Amino acid sequence: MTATLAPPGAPPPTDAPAHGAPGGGARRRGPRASAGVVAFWCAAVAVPLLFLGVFFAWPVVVMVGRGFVVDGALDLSGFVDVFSRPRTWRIVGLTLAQASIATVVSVGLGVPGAYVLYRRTFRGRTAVRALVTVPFVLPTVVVGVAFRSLLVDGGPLGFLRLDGTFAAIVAALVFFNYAVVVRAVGGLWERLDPRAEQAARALGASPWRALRTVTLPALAPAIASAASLVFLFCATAFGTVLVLGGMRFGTIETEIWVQTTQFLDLRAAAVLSVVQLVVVAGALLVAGRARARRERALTLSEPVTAVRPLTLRRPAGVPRGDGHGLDLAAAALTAVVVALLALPLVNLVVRSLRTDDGWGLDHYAALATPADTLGVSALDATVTSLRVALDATVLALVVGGLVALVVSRRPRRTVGRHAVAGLDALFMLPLGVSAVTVGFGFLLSMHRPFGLDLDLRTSAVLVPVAQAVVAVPLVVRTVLPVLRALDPRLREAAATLGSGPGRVLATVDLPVAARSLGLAVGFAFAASLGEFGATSFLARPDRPTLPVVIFRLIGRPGEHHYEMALAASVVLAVLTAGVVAACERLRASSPGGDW
Amino acid sequence: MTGLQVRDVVVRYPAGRRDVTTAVDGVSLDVAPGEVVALLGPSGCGKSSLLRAVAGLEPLAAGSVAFDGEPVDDVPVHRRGFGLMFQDGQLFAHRDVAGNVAYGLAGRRTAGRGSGQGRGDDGRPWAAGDRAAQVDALLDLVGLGGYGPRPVATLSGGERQRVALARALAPRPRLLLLDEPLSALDRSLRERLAVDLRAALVATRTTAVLVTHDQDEAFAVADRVAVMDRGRLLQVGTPADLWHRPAGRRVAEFLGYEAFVPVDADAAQPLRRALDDRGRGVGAGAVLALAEGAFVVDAARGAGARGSVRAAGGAVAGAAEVAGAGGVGAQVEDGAVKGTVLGVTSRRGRSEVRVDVDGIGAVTALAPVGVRLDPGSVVALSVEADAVAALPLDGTA
Repeated sequence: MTATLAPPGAPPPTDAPAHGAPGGGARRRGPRASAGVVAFWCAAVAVPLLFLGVFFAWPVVVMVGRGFVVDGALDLSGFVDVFSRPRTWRIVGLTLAQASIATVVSVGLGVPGAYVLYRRTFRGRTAVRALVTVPFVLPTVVVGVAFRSLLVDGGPLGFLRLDGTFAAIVAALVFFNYAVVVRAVGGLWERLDPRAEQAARALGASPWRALRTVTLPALAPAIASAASLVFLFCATAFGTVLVLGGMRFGTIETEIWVQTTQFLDLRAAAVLSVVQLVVVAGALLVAGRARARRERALTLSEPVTAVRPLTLRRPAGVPRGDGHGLDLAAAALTAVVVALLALPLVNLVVRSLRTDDGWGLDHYAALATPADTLGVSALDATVTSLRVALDATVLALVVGGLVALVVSRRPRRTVGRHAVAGLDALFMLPLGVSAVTVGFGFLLSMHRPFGLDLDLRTSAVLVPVAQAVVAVPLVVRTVLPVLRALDPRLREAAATLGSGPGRVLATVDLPVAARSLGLAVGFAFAASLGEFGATSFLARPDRPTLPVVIFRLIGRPGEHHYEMALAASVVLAVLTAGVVAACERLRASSPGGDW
Repeated sequence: MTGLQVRDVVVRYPAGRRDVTTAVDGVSLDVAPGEVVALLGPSGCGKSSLLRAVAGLEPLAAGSVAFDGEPVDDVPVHRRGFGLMFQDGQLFAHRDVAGNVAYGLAGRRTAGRGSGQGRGDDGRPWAAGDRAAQVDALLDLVGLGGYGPRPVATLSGGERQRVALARALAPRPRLLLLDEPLSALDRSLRERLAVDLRAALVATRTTAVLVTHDQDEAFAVADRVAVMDRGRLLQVGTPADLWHRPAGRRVAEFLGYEAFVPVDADAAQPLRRALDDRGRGVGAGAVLALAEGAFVVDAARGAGARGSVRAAGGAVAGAAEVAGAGGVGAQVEDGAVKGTVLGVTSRRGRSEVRVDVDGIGAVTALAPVGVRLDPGSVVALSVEADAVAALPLDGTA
C-alpha cells in the first residue's frame, strides 16, 4: 500500500522493492495491491491535480499568456517595457522592503513571545494565546480598516501622523504575522528538552550565552520556517496594503490589481505576476529547506517537564543571575506587544459603537438596510459570505485532505518519493501566487472554458472555488504534519491484525488526522470568509461578500459609511475569530502543524 | 570542611493548582574531595531532583548546599563550577564533537579556578596548552582520539556518552554530577563503560556524584553508595558495607535481596549455620535476607540419582521417571535444604533455577552450567553465605 503513489497510468505498484529481471517485464515479488486500492490512490492523486489544474494553473496560465502572446506569437517586449518604468522598480523595492522589515520585526518580537507564551505558565495564558492568534485569522481588509481607524486624524494615535505611511503598513503586517512566529516557534520550544540548555549552563555558560549558543540554534529551523512564511504573507499582502497604502505605497500584488482594474494594462499585470511567482518560489524554497532541517536530531520532551511558572519576583531558592532578568525582559516585551495587538481591535470596536449623540448600536442597525448605491445590505452580504465560505471549506477540505493523505506517504521507490515531494511543493503554490492573478485569470479563462460553449464568469460557483484554491494549502499544512508524525508501524500493526487498506485508513489515519481537521476547518473557513483578492474580481455586483462590502464602504464618501465599515469589520472579525476558536477547541492538545 | 556538603535539603514541585509534591525530604550528604558517591534508588525516589538541586537547577525549599565550606545557594548554575552529564548526553546537535567538548572551555583561564594553588599541575592531562590541544587530550582520555571533526549525529550511543563525559570534564569542574550517565545504553556496553567511567574519574581525581537506579553500575563506579527512597536517604556506605549489612528491608530489596526469613524460623537454620561457619553469627530476632544465588543446586546430592538432574546431552528422562515431589524428597539427605523446581532460565551459560523452598518461598538458585531440571522435581540446595545478609532488628527502613 505504501508504494501505490505512481501517477495514473504507471504500472501497478507493489509493496516490494523492485527485484525484476532486466527489461522490467518480470513480475515483481510481493503481494499485489488490489484493484480497489489502486483505484483509490489514483483518485486521491487525480482529483486534487484536476481541481488545481482547472481552477488554478489554467487561469494563471491564461492570465500570464495574455501578457506575452500577441496575435498568436510570443512577445517578451512586455518585460522590457514594464521593467523600464521607474514605477515597477519602486513597487518591487517597496514589496521587498516591507516584507523584509516586517519579517525581521515579527521574528524579533515573536521569539520572546513564543518563550513567554509557551515556555512559561501564568494565569490567563490561554486567553493571551487566543488574543495573539486573533489578528492572524482576521480578514486582511479588517486589519487595514482597524489600523486606519487607529491612525487617522482624530484617531487615538492620530497625533503620530502615521496614516498612509510606510511604517503603518509595516506595523499592520507585523500585527498580522506576529502569531505565525509565536505559534511556530512556541510549538517547538514548548517541547524542546531543557536539559541541553542546562548542560550548557553547567559548563559555565551564562543564561544569555546558553540561549544564544544552544537554544536559539536548536530553534533555528522553526524560526527560519516561520520567517519564510511571514515573508511570503507580507510579500503577497493585498487587502491590508490596499487599504493602508493609498496610492503611494503598494506591493506587487496591489500593483497587479491597479494595473488590471485601473489602467487595464494586462501586459504589465502579467509581467508582475511572473515577478511575484519568482519571489514566492524563492520564499517557498527557503521554507521547504527549513522544514526539512527541522527534523534534525532534536531531543524533545513532554511540555510538562519543560514549562515553568512565570513569576515577577525571583522565586525563593533561585539565585541572582540565574536568568530571571531575561525572563522579565521577555515578559515585559511581550506584555507591550500584546497591548499593542489589542489596541487596534479595541479601538475598532469602540469606534463602531460611537454615534453622533453618544454610544449605540446605530451603525450595526444600519448594516441591515441596503445602502443606497450598494444595492444589498451588509447583512445580506454576511449571509452570502457564510454560504460561500461553507462551500469553499468543504471543497478545500476534500482536496486538501486528499493531498495531505497522499503526501504523507513514504513510498519506497525513489521515483515515488520524488513524486510525493513534487506534489507537496505544487500544492503550496496557491499560498503565494497572487490571488488577484487567480481571480482575474478566472474571468479570462471561464469564458468559454476549453472551447466549451459556456460562460462561467457569472456563475455563483466561481467564488467558493476560488476561495477553496486559496484555502487548500492551509488545510494541507495543518493536517500533513500530524499525519507525517504518525508512526508507520501503527499502520503495519493494524494490517497484521487483519485490517485491509481501507480499514487501516479509517481506523488509524483518520482518527489521528481528525484531531487536526478541526483546526483545518477553522483556518479554511476563516481564510474563505476573509478572502478579498480573488473575490473582489469574481463576486457579482448584486451578491458581494462581506469583505467586498467593507472595501466599497470605506471607499465611499458620505454619511456614516466609514462607521458602517467599522461595524461590518467587527461583525466579520467576530465571525472569523469565533469559528477558529470553536474549531481549535475540537483540536484538544494535539500538535497543530506549522502554525 | 572540604568537598560537598548537603544539609537537610528539601525540594518540592508544584503538583496541580495548589498541591506540592516533596521530591527530596531533608537529605544530608557529604562527599569528600576526589570521592565518587552514587545515589541509588528506584525511579521517582528523588535522586535526580537532589542532583539537580545540587547543580542549581532546582530551587531549594529548605536546607543548604555548600562546597569547601562556602554555601553555593546564592550562586547561579554557571558559576558553581559543578559539571553535569545527562543520561542521553544532550550533545549540541549543531556543533561537532570538538565543538561540544570545547564549549565549556570558552572564556576560561587555563590556570583553573576555585580552590587552591598549584592545581595547574595536578596530573590532569588537559591542564595546560591551547584549547585544541585540551580538546584532543580530553578525547584521548575517553578513548575517542581523532573524533574531533565528526558531527555528533554520526556517533553511537556509547560514543555520545563518552563525548558528553569529555565535555563535562573539560572546564575542570570541582564537582561532577552524573545523571544516569549509562542508563540509556545496552547492558554489555553499560558494563564496559562503567569501568571506563570509573577509570576516567579516578585518573582526573574528580569529585563526583552519580545518580543511577542500577546497583551494579553504582557498585562499579562509586566509592560509596547512598540508597534513596521516597525522598529520604536510607543508608550510605561502601558497596561491601551495603551488601553485607543493609540497614533494612527496603534497602535490601532494592539491592536485589529477594526473600526474607526470620532468623528464628526453622527454615532459617541452614542459613544460620552457613553464616556461623563464616564467623558471621547472627543474634536472635534478626531477619535474614537472601539474594539471588543464596542457594546453589547441589547436583552431587539427593535428587540427582533419580535423573531429575541431568547433564546436558544425557538421556532424556521419560515422564514416568520424574516422580512426584514426595517420592524424590525421600532421596534427599536429611538436613539439606530442599527446593521444588519452578522453572529454569539461562543467563550467560549459568542456569538460574526458580525454586520454592519450604518456609522461605520462591528464590533464585544457581546451578552448574548445562544442568537441566524439570519443573516439579525436588533438588538439594547448599547455602552461599555471601548472598545472605542479616538485617538489624529495627531495620524497618
